[in-house]
Amino acid sequence: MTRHPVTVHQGAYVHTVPWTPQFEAVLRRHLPLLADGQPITPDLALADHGLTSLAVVSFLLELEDEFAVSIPDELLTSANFANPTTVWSVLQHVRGSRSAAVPTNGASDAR
Amino acid sequence: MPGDDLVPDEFREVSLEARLLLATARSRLTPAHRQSVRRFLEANTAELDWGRFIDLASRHFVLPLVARNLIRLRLIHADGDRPLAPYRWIFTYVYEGNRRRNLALTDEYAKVLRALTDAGVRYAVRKGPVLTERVYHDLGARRVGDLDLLLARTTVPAFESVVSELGYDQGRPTGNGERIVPFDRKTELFWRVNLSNVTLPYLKPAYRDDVEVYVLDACVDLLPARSLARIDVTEVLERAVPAVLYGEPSVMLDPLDQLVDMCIQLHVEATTLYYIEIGKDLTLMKFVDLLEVIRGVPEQVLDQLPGRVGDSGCADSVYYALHHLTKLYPGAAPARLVGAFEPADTGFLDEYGGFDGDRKRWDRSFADRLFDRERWRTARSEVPGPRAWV
Repeated sequence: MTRHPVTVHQGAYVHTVPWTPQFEAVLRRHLPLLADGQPITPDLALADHGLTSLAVVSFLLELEDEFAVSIPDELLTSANFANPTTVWSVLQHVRGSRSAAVPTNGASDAR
Repeated sequence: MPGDDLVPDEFREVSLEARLLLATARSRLTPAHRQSVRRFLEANTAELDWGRFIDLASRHFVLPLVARNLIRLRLIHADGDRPLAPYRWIFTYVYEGNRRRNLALTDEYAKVLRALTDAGVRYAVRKGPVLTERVYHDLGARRVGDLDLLLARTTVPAFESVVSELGYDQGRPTGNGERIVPFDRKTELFWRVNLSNVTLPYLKPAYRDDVEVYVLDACVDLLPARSLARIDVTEVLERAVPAVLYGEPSVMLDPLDQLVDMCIQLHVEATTLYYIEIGKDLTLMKFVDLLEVIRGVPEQVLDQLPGRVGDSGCADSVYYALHHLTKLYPGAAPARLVGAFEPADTGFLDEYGGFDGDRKRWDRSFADRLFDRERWRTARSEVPGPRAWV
């Protein structure tokens, strides 16, 4: 399993936070259209690989369970679950990392 | 045949009950139209299944309206006193019961509007209350469910604070209706991620037989989430106009925004699996609402509708609503207005499922589907959470 370093921009700073195998395993379980052995790249379009509007709920529930977190309402935007980078950023943010800048609901989620 | 002039040609083949419903589901009936209904009833009363008629009228949310018309205009009486229909008492009680229910909602929702105004929360009232008070002018004629409000997204926390003080909670009623309990996490997640144009509803037990719960529905966009169209909610709120609703100084959508809002809602609900599944996709009430609102807008203002819709991307929704409205009620909207929204390709008129599933095409006509009581079997929505409490 490749541990992709995720580049997260926060203001003028750029942080590199590799996602964990645990995260990748959860994510892979929810991408039914991802071919076996196909790498998960940072900008992979999750919706195109089976993470539908309904499937994202199961994914979030498992993510919250696996990492023992509760994702706050303001981070529950479709934009934050567009690709592995955005999801990992959300998770890092919720886990208390200061390395991730995450768009919040109403701030930048254009609808 | 007597009563042949009762409904438009396209609806001549629908059931007797559906034809009677279509003919009586309107706010005003001309003397000629009343005579036509009477002739139809005199000719068909033996064949009419009144149980089926009441069921159909309920499914289309117009039972109070048709009940009022049948009783007040004495349409179910021939020669002044000979009854043409059974169950007159049901029609009476439905209308009176609905009026009483709406009075209860008036008292409660007035408190909400007052509190929001006092707290300086900017809002505009949509749909039900505006229609009942300012369009139908009859508290018993139209069923009202929830209080629909448009808010700026940034106002939602202040709104929540105000309605929480009034006893409202986001959640669902318990089995005995005595308490509101929070939605499960799955529902919360789905709505927040995928239905970001609306908040989950705020409920408060009513402890009344005629009102189970009071419901506040707040939306922060007139368009469904993921829509490619764009409407600036800030501009809509700035255009909103003062109005006295439920006896309270309040704010409602400007007439053109109200029309756009109703057309979008009608299109979205008519084609969304979530609504098809619960049979609230195609209801006569929505078309009667639209008919009456258009009737109340001066022609020179109506002419500005294409300009208002502009390049927002929702012209197809306006066309969808007006096209079907004028099929049901010919002349309900000026032909040039409908024509102004007609796209080159009108294939989308027969599509459904695109908002919350796979896009499909109906294989039956609009007239067939509108009065088909089993239409809901067509669709299954995967959306978790609330359906309809009111």
